Parts: sequence; structure tokens; C-alpha cells
Amino acid sequence: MGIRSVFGKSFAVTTSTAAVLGMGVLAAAAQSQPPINVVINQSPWLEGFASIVEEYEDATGNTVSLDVNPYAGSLEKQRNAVRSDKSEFDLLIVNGIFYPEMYHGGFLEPLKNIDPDFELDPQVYTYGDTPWFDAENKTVNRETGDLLTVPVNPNITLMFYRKDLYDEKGLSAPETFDDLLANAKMFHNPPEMYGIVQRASRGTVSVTWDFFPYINGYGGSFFRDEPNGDFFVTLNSEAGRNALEMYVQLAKEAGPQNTASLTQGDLIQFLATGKAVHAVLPVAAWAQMDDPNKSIVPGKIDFATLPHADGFDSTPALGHWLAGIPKNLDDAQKVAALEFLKWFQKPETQIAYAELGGAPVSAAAYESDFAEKPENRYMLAMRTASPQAKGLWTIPEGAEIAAVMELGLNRAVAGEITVVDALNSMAKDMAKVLADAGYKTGNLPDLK
Amino acid sequence: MTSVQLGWMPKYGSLFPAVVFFLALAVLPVANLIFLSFMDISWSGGVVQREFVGLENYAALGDDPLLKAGIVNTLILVVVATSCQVLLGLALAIACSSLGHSSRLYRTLFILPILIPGIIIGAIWRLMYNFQFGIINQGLDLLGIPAVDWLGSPHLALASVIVVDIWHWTPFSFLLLLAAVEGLPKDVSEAAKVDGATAWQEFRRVSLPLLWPAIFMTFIFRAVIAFKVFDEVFLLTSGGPGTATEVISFTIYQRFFLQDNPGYGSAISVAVIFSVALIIAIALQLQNRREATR
Repeated sequence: MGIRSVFGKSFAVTTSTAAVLGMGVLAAAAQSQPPINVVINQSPWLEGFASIVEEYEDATGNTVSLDVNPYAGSLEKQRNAVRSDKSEFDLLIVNGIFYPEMYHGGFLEPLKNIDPDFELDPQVYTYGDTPWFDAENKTVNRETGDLLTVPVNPNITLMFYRKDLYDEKGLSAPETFDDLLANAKMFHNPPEMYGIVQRASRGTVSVTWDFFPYINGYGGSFFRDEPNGDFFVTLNSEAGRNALEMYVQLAKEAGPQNTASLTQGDLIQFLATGKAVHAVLPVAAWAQMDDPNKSIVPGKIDFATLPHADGFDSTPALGHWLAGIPKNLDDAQKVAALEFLKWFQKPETQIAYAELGGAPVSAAAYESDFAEKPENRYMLAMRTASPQAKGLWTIPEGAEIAAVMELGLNRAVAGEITVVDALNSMAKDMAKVLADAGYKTGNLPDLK
Repeated sequence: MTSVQLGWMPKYGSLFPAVVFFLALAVLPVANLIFLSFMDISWSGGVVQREFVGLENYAALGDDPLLKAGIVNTLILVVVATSCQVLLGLALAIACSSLGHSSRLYRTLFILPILIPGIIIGAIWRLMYNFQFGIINQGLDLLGIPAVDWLGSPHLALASVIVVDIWHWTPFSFLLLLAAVEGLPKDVSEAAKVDGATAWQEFRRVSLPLLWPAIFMTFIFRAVIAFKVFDEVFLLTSGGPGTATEVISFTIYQRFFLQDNPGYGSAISVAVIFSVALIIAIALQLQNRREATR
């Protein structure tokens, strides 16, 4: 594997090796496959994925190379690959925000075209049925669509919080945004300790993803009724105002002065260095919290599903990752890539994936005994959060919508414009993007 | 010996390969960019779909908030950074030149920033500007001054990027102007001194006018490069906070690549190419007039 030397196997546990050796008996029956090349992004969950890939190589003798890139770089490489005469990558690890672009563009091979008997393992979570796409109706639809991808990472956001400090005060995990604000302010003691660290820098999709649980948690939404094709923009609703005001208030009253420039890496750094009490992060970041080589607070961070306003549901944001096989490949390469996915989705592989520090996508892992161990406490939060999670959108204009939102949300948190101005301008710009693309759209009257 | 009249054919024919090379490398890509700027490009069924949209992409330029911010910030960066770089470069060039051979160490030191890859410059300055543990804020802390959010404050972020640009590119001005300073005729300066001119008068009345063409060209070269600034912004601020450090190149990157809108991205690119060319042409024209009136 391309990055074997970087990650090594130091944290591979004995049980996982035994489990995977068991799988090796099954895998040995599989034919030897040509090497495959996987394009993937540099994320907190990469280490776990790299380890399970190593196990696949050991179990089957097949070779997998990982082409690791920054988030935007990975997307660009994928676009170039699928639009060329022949893809240089056999497996694309596509983000849950940009997968519609790959689906609508017609770039991915339906997996049943490669192997008519292939089925998604029934224990694998389907994350809003996003692995299926109905090319005729241009919708994500399990009943009428083709299976195009296999989930490889859940990447749901969870509330990371300092359980040791909560215990000292006799508190329990914040359930509402008001609880979160009150608790964050209570612990806020800058510069030694920040009540909460939030991501608000402009990126490809950063603050947009982190804000999504807030607007949904206040009963709002980006669009009026996306599943039924109604893309009327409802961002600048009262719920939107409450959500963004809370996001900004948390930043101002319990966060660092530079919230508007914080990235996901900064949030992890704050928590791991013991300088923050709360952060909303993708689940995969749990491994860094408990690794004593990377964290001074191992065992002190606990995980909970995200807060919500009274009367509304918690709505973690889906930013899951899906593995798809490009159409513009030789058949042998497609088969080799699918062989890896078949192995990857097995229940025993998923348990091993969890044991290796990955973030599995199968109920088999989350309902296993392994999840009950104290060190795997994130998995218990995932059991609750997974069914509540929602995706941001299912249309290929996501990149343009994200650009609008990244700018508006960042400006609001930075104090460059007011919350109301940010919401009104974002709503108008989003409606324009959607109207230009031919959707049924519009936007609410300006908030005052 | 009999002279042979070869005519114009061999003369121009010998230029043909160079012309073809130039067309292939310079003109065709720009022509393709112009062509794309009239298109809306999308993908369906794995096949590219091109739709002619006339001037629609150009009409949209006026409504693009990122582009507006990018133009304003780029102009500020070009004027401020380039002016500072030329002034600093000139001062360093004069200082080094006056030291003669003993300035070799300084010359090497002064050009170091331009030799460092952009990605490393981004890392160096991002660490130095870090709000929590950056060396600049640590220094301020020692002086009892509160930490400053260099990259996260809308009021300071562009200035912080400009400082990095000045640090990075002053050596460029220094190198060009050092050559000019060392090429100044010594006898004119000495004659001025003999006539009783002070050092400042000699510089102001003799050296500066002689250096002016070099200073002007250095400014133009540097301004053109500054107009293309991307890496510093990408690595330090990604255009934020808000649009505080948005620059034109970064807008093009977002529209063209991240948002995958090659038609509109091409329209911005074409507009920028022609605007920069126009500004340079006007500047050169003004300089020529100035030369002609002297």
C-alpha cells in the first residue's frame, strides 16, 4: 500500500488481526486481482481506513494504493479522472456532499453491471439511501435507482465534550442549544480554556456543514421540500435567524476571538491540547482524542448527539463518504475494485475496521460487544445519532450553494455583516443558483 | 563574390517554426479560453454538454460579490505591496551597492525569501500569525500587549497578507534595482558632488532620474506578478474572513474549479487578462510620453 510506511500497524489490535485472518480464509477463495488505485482525501478517518486496507492486502494478497489528497484536491482529481478517456483511479472515495455531481454526471458504473449478484450488505447503513441513484428521474431512490456506491465512512457530526469537567460540576451532556450555551459560558476562561470552539472559516464545505445541525435543530431547513423537488429557499426564516444567532452568540460569548478563521484541524487541536470544553466534530476524530501520543486528554472526552432547540429533533449532518467505481475503466479493474468493496462491507471486516480505529458503516460494528467497551464510547453516541442524521442536499449544484453559504456564514461570524443581512443575502444567492440551474425555487421575503 | 537576393520568403520562413510554437503555446490557449467563456458546460451521462450562451457569462460578472471584492482587494494589494517592495528594494539595492564587495553576505540574505517555495512561506507565516501560539503574539504577550487576530480579523487580514507578500517579493525588486544602481555612471554622481551637491541632492536630482526607467519597469513587472497572487491567500486565509482577503485569482479558482463552472470561470479569466493588458498598455504609454517630454 502506498502509505503503509506512514501509518504502520502499531495500533492494530490482536483481536482484529484474528478476525481478519478468519476473513482471509474467505478471501483466499477470491481470485487474485490486479492492483487498484484509490483516490481519497486526508481526513481524520484516513488512518483507520489505511489500516483496514492493509488488512485486505494481507488477507488477499491483492494490492491497493491510496492516493491521499486535501479535500478540494481529491475532488478535483476525481473530476479529472472520470472525465478523461480512462480513469487513473479504480475507486473514488466520494464525499456525501459532492456525490450528486458524480451521479448526475453519469460517471459511476452501477455495481450490478460489474457483478449482477452484488448486494449491499443488509447491515450497512444507507445514509438516506444515498448509494442508489435513479438516472432517469435524477433522484436518490432505493426503489427505482441503481446501486452506484458503497458507504465507507459515516462521518456524522457528534458533540465532543470534556466529560471529566462535566462530572466535576455534576452536569450531563447538553441536550439543547441553551444548555450548550450555558455550559460553555460556565467553563469559558480564555485563554486557558474556551467554552466551545466552532469552525467558521471559509472552505470548500466547512462552516456550512457545521451550521446545518443548528438550522435543522431549530426546526428550519435550507429548502422547503427538497425530497419532492421544491427548492424554495427557506434559509432566511425565523428558525434560520435563531440558529445563526445562536452560532454567533456561542462564538462571541464562549469561543476564541478568532472563531471566523478556525478550521477543523484547529478544533481538534484545541480539544486535544485541553484548551476547549466543547466542539462539534466528525465522529472519526474520536481516535485522536484518545491517542496519548496526540492528546493530553485521553479518556476525558465523551461524545453525544448534537443539541437541538426545545421541541425539535437533533439533526447531525451527514458528510459520509461513498466508494464508487468509474465507468471509464477496464472490466478487470472494475472487478478488482468491487472485490475490495465486497470484502470491506462484510460484518466481520466492519468490526475489524472499528477495532483498527476506523469509523465503520455497519450496524454489525455498532451493535457488537466491541461498542460496549468504555474506550469505544463514541459508538454508543453513533447508535443514537446515525438514524437522526440528514444530508445537506442531493443535487449537483452543491458546490455553488456551499460557496454562497461559506461566504455568508463566515462573514456573519466574523462580524462583517449582521446575521439578518447574511441570511437574506445567502437566500437570494442560493435561489439564483437554483433558478439558473432550472429548479423550482424562490426565497422568503427578507428578514427584518 | 556574387550576392544572392533571397527575397522575403526565406527570411519570414525561418520564423515560421517560432510563430507556430508561439501560436500553440500562447495564442491557442487564450483563444480556447475566450471560446469557453461563451459556453455553459455541464456533464451528463459521462459526456460533456456545451451550450452557447452568448454574453451571459460576461453579464453575470457585475453581479458577482466575490469578484467585486476580489477586484478591490487585488488593486489594494497590487498598489500597496508593489510600492513597498519597490521602495524597500531600492533602499536595499543602494545600501548593498555602497558597501561594494563586502555586501555579498547581505545580498544572499536579501534574496532568500524569493527562493522559498510558496507552500513553505504559507506554513511559516501561518504559524507566525497563529492567534494562540504564533511567535508574533507571543512577542506581544512579553510586552504586555493582548494577542492580535492577524488572519481572522476582517480589519487586519488583508494587511497581514500584504506583509507576507512584501516579505516574499521584495528580493525581486531588490535584484532588478541592484543591477540598475550598479549600472549608474559614476562620473555623473562625482560631478554633482564636485559641484557641491549633498548626498540627498545627488540622489534626488541625479541618481533617481537615471534610475527612473528601471524603477518604473520593476514596478510594472512586480505589479503584474502581484495581480496574480494566489498561493499566499490560499494558504493563509482562503479569501476570508468574509471577503476581506478575496483576490481575483482566488475567485477564479473557486468559480472555475471548486464550483466546476468553466464557462463563467473563463469569462472572469478573459476579463482579467484584458484588463491587466490594458492597464499595462496605458502605463507604458504614459511612461513613453514622459520620456518623450524630457
